Amino acid sequence: MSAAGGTKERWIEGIGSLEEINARICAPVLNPAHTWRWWAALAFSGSLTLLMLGSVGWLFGHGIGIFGNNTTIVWGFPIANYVWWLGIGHAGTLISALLLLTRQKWRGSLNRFAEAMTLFAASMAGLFPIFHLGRPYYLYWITPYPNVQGLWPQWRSALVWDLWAVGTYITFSALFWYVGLVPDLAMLRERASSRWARRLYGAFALGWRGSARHWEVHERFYRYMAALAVPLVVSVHSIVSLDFAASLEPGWADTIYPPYFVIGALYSGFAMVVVLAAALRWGCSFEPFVTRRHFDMIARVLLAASIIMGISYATEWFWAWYGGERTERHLITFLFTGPYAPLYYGQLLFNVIVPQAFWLPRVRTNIAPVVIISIFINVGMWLERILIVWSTLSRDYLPSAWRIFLPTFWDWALLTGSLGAFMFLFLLFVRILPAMPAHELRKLWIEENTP
Amino acid sequence: MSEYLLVEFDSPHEALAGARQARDGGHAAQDVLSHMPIEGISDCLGRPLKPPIGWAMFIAGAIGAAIGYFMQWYSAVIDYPIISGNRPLDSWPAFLLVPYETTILSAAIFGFLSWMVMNGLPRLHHPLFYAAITERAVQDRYLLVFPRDATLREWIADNLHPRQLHEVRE
Repeated sequence: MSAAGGTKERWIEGIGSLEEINARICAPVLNPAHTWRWWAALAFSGSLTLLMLGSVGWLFGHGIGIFGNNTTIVWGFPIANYVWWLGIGHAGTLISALLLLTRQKWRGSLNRFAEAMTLFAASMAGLFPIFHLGRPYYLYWITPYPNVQGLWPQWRSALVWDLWAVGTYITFSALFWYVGLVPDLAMLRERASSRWARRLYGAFALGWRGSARHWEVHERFYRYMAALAVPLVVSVHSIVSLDFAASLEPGWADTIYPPYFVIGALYSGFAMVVVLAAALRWGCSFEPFVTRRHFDMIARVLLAASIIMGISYATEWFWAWYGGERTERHLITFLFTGPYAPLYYGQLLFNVIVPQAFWLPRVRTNIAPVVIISIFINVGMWLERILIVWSTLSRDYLPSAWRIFLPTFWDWALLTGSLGAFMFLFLLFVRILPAMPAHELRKLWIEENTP
Repeated sequence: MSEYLLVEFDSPHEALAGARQARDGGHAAQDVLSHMPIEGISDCLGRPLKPPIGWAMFIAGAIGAAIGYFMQWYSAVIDYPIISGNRPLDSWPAFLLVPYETTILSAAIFGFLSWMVMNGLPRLHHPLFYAAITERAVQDRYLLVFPRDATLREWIADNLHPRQLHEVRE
């Protein structure tokens, strides 16, 4: 195993056999250690989930007046949270699909849990526009269903596009994730000791035998899905950006919005992957699979994305000035000098300045600083999302309508609640399903250990 | 009934070499069970596998696109035209977003269904599961599957140098 002096790149460290890979990957599911840590985390995230459920109940009882939204800033937290969560979700698909198509081997350890992250984050995202509907029980009105009034959805509305984009995205991600899981479910079927678990994993493994035909179909399907996933992700966040860009508002009606949103999505999502990877490495003893080199690679992606974000911000400033539109220019001045200015400086600091530390290899290859900077990036990206909503709506064309947004308790409760619910789902995932794709890692290990 | 001879190998390369040798010797394996995909092994089987899953997905995607566009066109032009500022009823640039998503959605869903059909799944019971060794096939082993036959068994033992031979009887 330790081919001394081998120049081969290694993404799996300190593993002696295939059986060791299987045992390590199945351990959190079949015979977990440190269960008290897991239970403590579950209790903490579970209580936040209850906070979310309570807030949703209160919201449905009292309407969106409980939020800080006012007659001018009609979007507020729910839309910013929607964009932020969906963006986080996109990184899972990109890691899984884009890195598969470009044959990046370091994807192997990350794709399973990153796709789980996608599913949970996209589910959180999908909830927020519903919370914001005001009359959420009429949600089905944006779907084309037969009705006695003979009405159809308005196809020119960004809200309808959102439904198709997010609906497709969640369905697609679930399929992609499940198909990738099947060979590992077959492994769990054989390794589980309780009869009940064997039956359950066996049912979901669909009778996978690992036959040549299975693999042939599987490999093809998986690659085609990856080829579909990349344009899907780009389209989904582009459509989200059209919620803003298809308007006539200052600061929103920009052609830069779709690419700017997609890169922002990748950026915040990769940052979340870092946090989850570090948590898994620590909580499930996945050190052999999630190495310092993985963090190094993600840090490089984050660095590139932070530079693109910086260029995007600068482009916005430039066009506001160069376009000569008074409202656009005023909006940029307002961002730098208005009441939201501290948040805006925070956004620039976290998204553009702090990640420049990744130029130093010493920072990139140490897990703690990468995780800390990633948390900063997530905060910075949330600030960006909320400021996109707040600043434009606060300084519209009509000065008499200018107002400021003041968040309420319920705004914060739903945001933290959704974080808790995300964590809760992720914790359940780690204990129920293999968080690493065992069959891909076995293949990678064999490639790395065959002379 | 279905009775099999399972020929176990230590590594994917040996399994691939074994499958090749068996094919060249006129006794091509029926199937291979392995814990990971082995590139090129499907060409060494009795009948080569070329599952047309890409075509299935392509056709489903094209139909999804057509349905997505037709739905909008029918509702906006025929069934419920809204005349607003003399804008064209068939607003095709805005109508491309939904077909884009329905293309991917139908290709993915139909692809998944094809994945099941072409794999012959779900199939929770299969005669191969009677052999204890298939339990390892999804974890870390490589097995070539042959019909159970005494002369073939001898030929395999002499020529393929497997690690072990297993028989499956119902």
